Amino acid sequence: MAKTPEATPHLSLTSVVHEALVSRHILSTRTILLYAAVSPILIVTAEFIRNGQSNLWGAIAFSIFSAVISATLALATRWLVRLAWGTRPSARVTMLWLVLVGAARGAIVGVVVAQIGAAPEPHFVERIVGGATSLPLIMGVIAVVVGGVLDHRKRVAELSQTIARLTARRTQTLQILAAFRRDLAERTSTAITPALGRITRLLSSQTELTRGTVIGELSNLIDTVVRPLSHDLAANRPDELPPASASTPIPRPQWGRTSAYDAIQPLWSGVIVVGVAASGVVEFFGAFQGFTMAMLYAGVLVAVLATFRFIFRASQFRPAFLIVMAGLVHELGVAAYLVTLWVLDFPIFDYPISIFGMLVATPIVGAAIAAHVIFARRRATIEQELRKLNLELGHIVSGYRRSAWLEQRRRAHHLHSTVQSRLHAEARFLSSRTGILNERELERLHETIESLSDSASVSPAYGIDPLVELAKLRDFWAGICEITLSVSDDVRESLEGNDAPSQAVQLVSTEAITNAIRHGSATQIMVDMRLSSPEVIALTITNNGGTVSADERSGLGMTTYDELTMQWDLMTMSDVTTFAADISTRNTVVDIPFN
Amino acid sequence: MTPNRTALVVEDEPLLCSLIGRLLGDSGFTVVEAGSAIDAFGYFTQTEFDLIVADIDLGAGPNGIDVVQRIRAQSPGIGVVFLTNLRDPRVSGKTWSAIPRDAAYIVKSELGSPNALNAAVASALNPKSKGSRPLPESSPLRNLSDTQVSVLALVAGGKTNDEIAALRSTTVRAVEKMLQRITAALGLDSGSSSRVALARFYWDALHGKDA
Repeated sequence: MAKTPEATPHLSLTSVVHEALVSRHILSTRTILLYAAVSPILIVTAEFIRNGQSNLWGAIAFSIFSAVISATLALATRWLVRLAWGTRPSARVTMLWLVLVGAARGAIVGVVVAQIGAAPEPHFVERIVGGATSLPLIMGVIAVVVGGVLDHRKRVAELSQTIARLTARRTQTLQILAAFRRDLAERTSTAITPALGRITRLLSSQTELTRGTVIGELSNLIDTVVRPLSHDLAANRPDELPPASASTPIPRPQWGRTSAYDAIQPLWSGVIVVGVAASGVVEFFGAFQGFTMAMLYAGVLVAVLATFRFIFRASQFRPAFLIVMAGLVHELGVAAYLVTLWVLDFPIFDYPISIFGMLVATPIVGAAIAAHVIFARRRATIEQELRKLNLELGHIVSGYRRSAWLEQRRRAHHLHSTVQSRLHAEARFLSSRTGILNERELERLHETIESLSDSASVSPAYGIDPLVELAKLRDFWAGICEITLSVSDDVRESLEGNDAPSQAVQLVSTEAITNAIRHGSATQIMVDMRLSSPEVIALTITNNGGTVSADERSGLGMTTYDELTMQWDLMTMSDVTTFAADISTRNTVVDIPFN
Repeated sequence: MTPNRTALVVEDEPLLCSLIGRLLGDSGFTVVEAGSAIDAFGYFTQTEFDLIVADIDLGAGPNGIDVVQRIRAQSPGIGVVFLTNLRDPRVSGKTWSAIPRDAAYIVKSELGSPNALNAAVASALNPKSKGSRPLPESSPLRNLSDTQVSVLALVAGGKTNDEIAALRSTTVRAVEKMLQRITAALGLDSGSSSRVALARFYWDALHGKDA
């Protein structure tokens, strides 16, 4: 069997029919008028044959009359469908409506024919059955085409706009986060450097006043620089991401060609042809012969289409060309069918009007199906592209937020705890003595200045194995809470030497475990890590602790999750609390310097 | 001097950890320094300690109180000194109630005082200090009782008197009286903006600013 191109998702016949039947387009004036314009081509065939092929103009007149009656009935009664639909469109309601409109059309025309004596027989039953079967089929095909042209084009336009916005947002987000990250280093350095310079100069030329002046400088440094800066760093977040409606030029989607294999759908064509043709041919050729001819029609057409599909399975064409090609191939199928009938000596050539009907209607069916497939294919492609871009955006934004947060956390914590405490201690030590600074005091002061300078320096590498750390955490809580760690090999490989993701895994897991024990009094915790996609770790932590309150869900600890994961969720069901998070393993920030 | 005694210092900031280690070493302790709760517990399983000096906030994961609880479960007699940046530990709410009553408490900014750490260590190792849980001398909320501090925290959190009364299962009148007493104890003006002044005082105390 030949290898087929990538299958098009969501293109089954039933899904297409359902989509057409629940589409508002099937109730639209546009569709109904299109039906009125197209249906006489098929109806005239039936009328001409039905009345003994003796009155072509009468058949044309009645076909137009039938079409007008159908359209009038549809337009007059479509409100009933809308009423029955409510807020949920229903394929059953639509189908029932179409069947009833078709049957009513057949009955009305039959009555008119009988009243004016336009034909020897009114053919009530045949007209009712024919209308009830053909009208839903033809209206369905029209709705599919209209939906393909209008709905799909609109949807594709919306999706491409979304992609363009996401792309623009990604660019702006990266700029904001990169600037924020650089700003962290610059602000620390800019705020501290002048004070350090003054203290260094004071120490280089000691006098009796140096001690008091240095104490003053240290106190000033704490109150006016270190403390405000540490609070500022801790509070400031790069949350001012551009809005989704950022005004940026939206590029037109660049479409590739569509596979002929996808666009030509033999089965669809066969089903539609059987549906439309059977109702007519069975009536005029008898049940057995009519059914045989209908099946033969569909069979030959499917065979021709399948052959074409096989020959051109690897070829791709422009949409317009492909639609025309689909029409021509269906025409070829009709020709093959007629040749087959001629060879088998079926009396088809006694009914030239039916030949005309086949030659006109079948290519329309083929072109309609091809158009629908092309639009559906494009929609599937752009949705796939959207998902990829969304994932890409998630990786990048998560990576930058994570990096910025880790950096900011390190700096703020360092300033608030180490530097501030050290400065306090220095000031106290200096004020507990008098006179010129001694050698030890000078040495300590220089150490302090050096540590302050380090506040703006490069962040040290993480360099530890998060899984080893989690194992230690498990041992720490042993006896109080039983922690089970389950980590897949691919997760281990992806974390190896990968600093930021490793740190994220450790911090998020540790936070979730500690919260479960501290706030939920959990006694059993299961930690599971596996790769859900090549660059995403799915972290799941379940525990038997208490329910998570709203306060705990929105607490400060959750900031860790927000900043270090792509997404996370916390839920409690049946006495089991589950924390789930996706962590990007991509290290996206190596190109942005810290300073 | 405290001969032949061992101390475990748990502090996630290396400079501060080494500073405390040096101070304890000067006081005659054999010191082991740990940068995290987990490391500290690891050292504890290998060595017998007389004293643990633990920072309450150790970053993500188990905190200093968790470490002490785990160690106390196996070594109930160990002396405990907690370190924090908060000028008054009671503003931390649940954290304060989780601190053992016989533990000493020292604010990091007081480490420069030559006797502050020694006094805290002496208190932690003195059996008579059980139940004292001393407050730092520098606490701006020192004149308030534990209950008053918790009510002050609710005021600073934006709660109304009705809400505070409901939370504490008391009457609005009782809350009003308590707020009057808190205002007086802190020496604040009892005018129309006293509620704002109370909240500001609380947040300054929480963040370590002098009132």
